[in-house]
Amino acid sequence: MGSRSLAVGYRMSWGGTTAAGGRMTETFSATAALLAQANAGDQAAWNALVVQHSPILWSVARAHRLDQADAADVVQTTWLRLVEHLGRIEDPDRLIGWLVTTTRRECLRTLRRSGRERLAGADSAFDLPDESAEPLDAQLLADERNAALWAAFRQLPERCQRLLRIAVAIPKSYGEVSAALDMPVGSIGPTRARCLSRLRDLLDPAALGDPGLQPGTPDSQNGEGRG
Amino acid sequence: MNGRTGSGALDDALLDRLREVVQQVDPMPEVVLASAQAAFGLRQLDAELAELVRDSAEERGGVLTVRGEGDVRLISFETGPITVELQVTERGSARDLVAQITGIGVRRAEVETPGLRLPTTLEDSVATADGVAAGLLRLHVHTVDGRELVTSWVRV
Repeated sequence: MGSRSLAVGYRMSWGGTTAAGGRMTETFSATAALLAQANAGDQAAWNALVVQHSPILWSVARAHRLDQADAADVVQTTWLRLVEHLGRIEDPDRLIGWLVTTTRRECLRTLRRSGRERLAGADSAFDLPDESAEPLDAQLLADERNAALWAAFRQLPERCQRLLRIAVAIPKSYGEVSAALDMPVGSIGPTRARCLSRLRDLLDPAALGDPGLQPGTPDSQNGEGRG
Repeated sequence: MNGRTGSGALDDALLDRLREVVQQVDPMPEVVLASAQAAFGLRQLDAELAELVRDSAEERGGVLTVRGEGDVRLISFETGPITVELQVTERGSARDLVAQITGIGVRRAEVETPGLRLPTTLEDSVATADGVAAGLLRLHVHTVDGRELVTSWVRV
């Protein structure tokens, strides 16, 4: 039942994500090749998969508001799950989706065990700024404009922080972002645009600095809803 | 179809900067890569996998607090007719484990962590191990007919 439910969850998460296809084919094929080599016992191929995908999984875990220790545990558990299922990945081309879905599931498991599920899962919590997370690490950011951007980001509703955090880690595929968030793929683009707009609203125009980041066209400020 | 013009290009530029900031503020610790790479060495090619099917810790009110003991959690694994029912009792950062294995004759069972292999005491088809450190573990069962069985990894 375990493997069946994994596979089903995986397929469901990927329902209707064909829009992400095409462009990613080359990457996917390379991933499938590495997976086959790892399955044949090649540690170097495994290491390559790990190096390639761990940063995405880290982002998914951190986007679920796990602290560093829990996030590290979740990523480790995800890789152990892949080791367990190495010869049984149904669609190697979509390994990233499988990993992301598994990571999300392990995050929820961790949150549930520590009784934080409602906090992180309830829709109402999504609309509140994330005040319980660790304090701003602005000191780490030498660049003042980056510090301002981070400060503004931390004021976003949790839903936006979560989505943008994953979107920056997986820039090219809404399909995987969808799997990481369990959100319909069709709503990723509009939500992302809305969250970026809110981020822009929170930023002092001077902090945007780079003129390229300032809205230059009238239509870019339309329809952005609540601020 | 979307030429990434106008607000699309602006969004991409802002995302690029945000990516840079996130990488500075929250870099992935090196240990994450190290433990992920080491996971490959824990592969058990010859062993059948008993998958996690139920974990009381994930159910409402599923963790029982027994008087005089710590919290008790029940975790079930299955493969075909074989089931492993693992009872985990918390004592601070230590865990007492009792595993009931049914559907197969057990010769020996071990508790495996990513770094250690610990023996269990076997009586009939019940394997026990006390004072195991909290963290990731799985049960490795050697059956009387020479088969190997491992459970999914669980964090206890």
